[in-house]
Amino acid sequence: MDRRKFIKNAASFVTLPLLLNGQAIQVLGANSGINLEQTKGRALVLIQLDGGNDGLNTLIPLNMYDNLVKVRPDVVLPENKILSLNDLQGVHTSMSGVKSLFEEEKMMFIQNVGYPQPNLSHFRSKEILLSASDSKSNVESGWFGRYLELLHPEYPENYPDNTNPHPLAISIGSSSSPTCQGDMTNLGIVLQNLNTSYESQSNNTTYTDTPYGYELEYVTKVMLSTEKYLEVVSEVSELSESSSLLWPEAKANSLADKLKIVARLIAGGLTTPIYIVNLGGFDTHATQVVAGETHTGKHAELLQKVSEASLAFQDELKQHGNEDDVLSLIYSEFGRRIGSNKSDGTDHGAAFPMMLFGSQVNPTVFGENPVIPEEVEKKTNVKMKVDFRSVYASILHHWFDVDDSEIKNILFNEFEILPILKSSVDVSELNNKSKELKLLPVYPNPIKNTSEIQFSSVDGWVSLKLYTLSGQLVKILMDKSVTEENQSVSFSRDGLANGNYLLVLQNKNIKDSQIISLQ
Amino acid sequence: MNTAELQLKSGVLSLNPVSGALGFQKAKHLLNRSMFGARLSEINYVKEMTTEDALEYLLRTPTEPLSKPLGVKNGDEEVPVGTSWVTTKYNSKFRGERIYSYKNWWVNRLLQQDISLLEKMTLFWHNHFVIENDTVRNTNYNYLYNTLITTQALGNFKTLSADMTTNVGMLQYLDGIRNDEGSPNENYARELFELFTIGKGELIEEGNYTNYTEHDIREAAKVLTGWKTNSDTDSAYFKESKHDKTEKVFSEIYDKHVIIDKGEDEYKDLIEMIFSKKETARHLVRKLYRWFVYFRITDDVEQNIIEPLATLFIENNFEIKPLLKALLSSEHFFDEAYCGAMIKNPLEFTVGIIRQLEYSVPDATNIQAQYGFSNTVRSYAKKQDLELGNPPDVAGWPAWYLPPMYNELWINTATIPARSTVIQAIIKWKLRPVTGVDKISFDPFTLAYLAETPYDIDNLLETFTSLLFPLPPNQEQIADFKETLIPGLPDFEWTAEWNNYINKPEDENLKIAVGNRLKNILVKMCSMAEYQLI
Repeated sequence: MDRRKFIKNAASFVTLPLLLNGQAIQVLGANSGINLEQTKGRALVLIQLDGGNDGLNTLIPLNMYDNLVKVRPDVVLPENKILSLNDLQGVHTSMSGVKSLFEEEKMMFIQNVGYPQPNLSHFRSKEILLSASDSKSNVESGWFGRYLELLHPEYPENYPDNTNPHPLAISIGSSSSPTCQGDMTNLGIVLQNLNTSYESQSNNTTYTDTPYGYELEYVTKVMLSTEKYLEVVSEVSELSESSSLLWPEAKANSLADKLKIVARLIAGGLTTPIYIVNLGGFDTHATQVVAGETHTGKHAELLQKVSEASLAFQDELKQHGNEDDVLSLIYSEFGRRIGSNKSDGTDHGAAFPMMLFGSQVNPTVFGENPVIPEEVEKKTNVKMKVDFRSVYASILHHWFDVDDSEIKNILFNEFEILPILKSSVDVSELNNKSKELKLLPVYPNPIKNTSEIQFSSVDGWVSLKLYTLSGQLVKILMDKSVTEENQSVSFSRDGLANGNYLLVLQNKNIKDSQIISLQ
Repeated sequence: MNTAELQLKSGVLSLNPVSGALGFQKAKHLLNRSMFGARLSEINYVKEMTTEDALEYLLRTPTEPLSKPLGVKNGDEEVPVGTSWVTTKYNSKFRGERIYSYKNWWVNRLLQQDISLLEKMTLFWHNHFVIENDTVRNTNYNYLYNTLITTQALGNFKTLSADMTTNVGMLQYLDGIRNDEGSPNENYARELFELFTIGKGELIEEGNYTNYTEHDIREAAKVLTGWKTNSDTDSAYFKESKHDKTEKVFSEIYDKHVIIDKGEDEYKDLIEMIFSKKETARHLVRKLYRWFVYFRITDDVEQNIIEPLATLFIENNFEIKPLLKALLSSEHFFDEAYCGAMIKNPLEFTVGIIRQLEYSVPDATNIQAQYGFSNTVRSYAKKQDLELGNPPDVAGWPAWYLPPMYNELWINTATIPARSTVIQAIIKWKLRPVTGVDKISFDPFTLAYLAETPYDIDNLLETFTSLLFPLPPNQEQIADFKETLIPGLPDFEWTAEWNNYINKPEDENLKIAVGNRLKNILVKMCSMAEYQLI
């Protein structure tokens, strides 16, 4: 056993008595009970909103609106600036993309996510979220890092190789993600862009048994693996190009720029199971909103970026046929205080809504609306109903097919598994959907004047409708009873403005949708 | 605490000062940790000194007043090029020009630094008492913040903490100006406890972080109410009517200490209260240890190094100089186990390579070129994840606080290629600092002539490696260097090539040929893992 590895195991023995003793880590590593074949090619994309996102202005509990007006008068949205999803919830007016995803049945909201004994420090709360520790324990490794270590106990020794040619985790930016931190080393790589190459110059290095020798070994190994990983990334990225029309201009939306890189890597065939991107600026103590125009301002701009980037990312995945292999999770270190402060902002809070999106998610708002009292004290927070580790556990269970006993090892405890995927709700419906009711790719797209829209149908009443991305119905192309066969409807734009629209095909509860563009 | 260190040699755990003259190796170690890349001449200057004399020298108070950032862009209609804007009222119209000046003035200070701990400690405080210039838009406020951390860099931690509390930049950055009676804003109060002074302890029950509670934060926020900034006078002032005059009662951690209304002096009582706890001293000593020695703090180090230094720090009423003197002259600091144990941060790497290779940086005769070159350096460091003046958040850079990897976080698949680009740019490319001035290129002979006998390949290589590497290279590495310098040839061919060039100085082609060989070997050395370490 090499020196670093020996040290690593010795370290885990001491730091994580709850989880792994020195022997267990090897047993788990040898036969980890994780079904690799089945989950191969599946990816999780973590979208971190840094600073603490104001959940109550993101997903608005409509039945609590009157009380929201009373307790957060300075930041609450005007009622007509809420895009309602249904009778009970609406989203911020700048999140039309998110609303579209919800209508396309690709977006799930999980309300009131948090943990017991909330910590209001950014750093501590982020540590808790990223390490999946409880409020009192100090855990230095990341939750996904522990999962990766079970699969790859020898990392970074001899990585990458033929068996594991691709990075185990990628964060886009310039820093490693603590989510992928292992006991001693980080299992992820960091990418700033796609076309960097690097040639390592280190050789013949000898390592002494001192802190110097230890750090020298670390740097040398990162240099060697950087050379190899960047070569792989560069090759893969050349295999595909971005094709969605929904991407904003480069540099206009940093989150979109990052997700664009992720989409290209996935389309190129990278088998990396996790990608991590972030967007900062959510620590809106002051001037979260423009006074008197509370649907505008800093927070509105941030949510617009999140919404636009998510929609474009999902569309890009769809264009390349990767939609079913990718699950994305949007979250923050905490929500914000229920009451607004006197600086047109909100202070650090507790529970918040998580957003999970992808073609396979269970498209619902999970959980009851938070209860907003008529009066609040300064420190009143949204109460936690769903432990964030329950969401992680559900992802490991449903998406990565990890045994429940291993999930318990990774997350230090058992957590409720939530129905986060359509398949975890009703498999037959999903099958029906994909086989029998399906829009074929619209061609040409963008459309100049007319186009033939083709789809395969089920027996029964079927509608084909066109919506704006903010959810307004603009045209009914068809609404009638048909027999099961391939159908075709001609579409003429007559009078519709240039831009992107959502085409929705529906039979009872089964839907398929596609974004089309008019030019 | 993990046991990784138990497998490593922890070195001597003594704070006794090292005696006698430093010698080359120790002088190099001390200067590389105290500055941004120790130059050969600087190491030679210090090596004859005792540790005590060397520390006296490194800690001396600058005799000349701090330079001021100068206007260098024609776009600023209010400030002529070559004059300073710091006493001109902030104008958002010219923010771009002035923030460019501010940032590059700072980078230039690092490039031009003396043998002194001043700039390294200024960066320490910048990472400790963070403000971000993306958030604090007022350039004058950024400058006043900078003046505070620079003039107090080697001063007193308690004084600095108090002064920082009412600094215009900090009042803006952490919403102090929005903290009023009846609508308190806890932002600064929280960070004052959590990051700036005593540090966050374990959560022992809801709202109790061992060293302070949520209640203490709320009470502290009340103490701090009423402070405002005035952009006409570039100063902070106290507005009595916005101040909470009630009694502030703290938790049992502070023995239910009561702070009564003292108006504009009240915040000093809060600082006194927090500094009455030994943990405040420990917290800063640990941070300085990670800054200067090594990021892993073992139980042994905690007991034998941190604890006595914390006691010494309190005995000296939080004066920085005696603390640094004790740490940086100790047997522990100079133990060979720790030489090279620190990964260079992006500024140590980027400014360091320029200084150590004797690169000719534009001087003050062309201020625009000087700031332009600094801007190049600044952007190189930014690519490696350290943007001077603009830390990622109020906690500073993760490489200085995030366990378990700490400064290992500087090195990853994104920053390694970025560092590689710096090496190529400095050694091989021609850089134009700013449009309209000549390009600069690296002259490898300046460095080569620092060798006593540059015609002797062994002396030449030894001069380079002793400057660039923490410890001497092994035999295979030396063979590899020779293979790069004179591929497939015996050693004396270097002497022949060198002398050939010396004897025909007018032959440009010969000079270029020898120069290219020198550049290749320097690229090679600087690209090695060893060069990432100090």
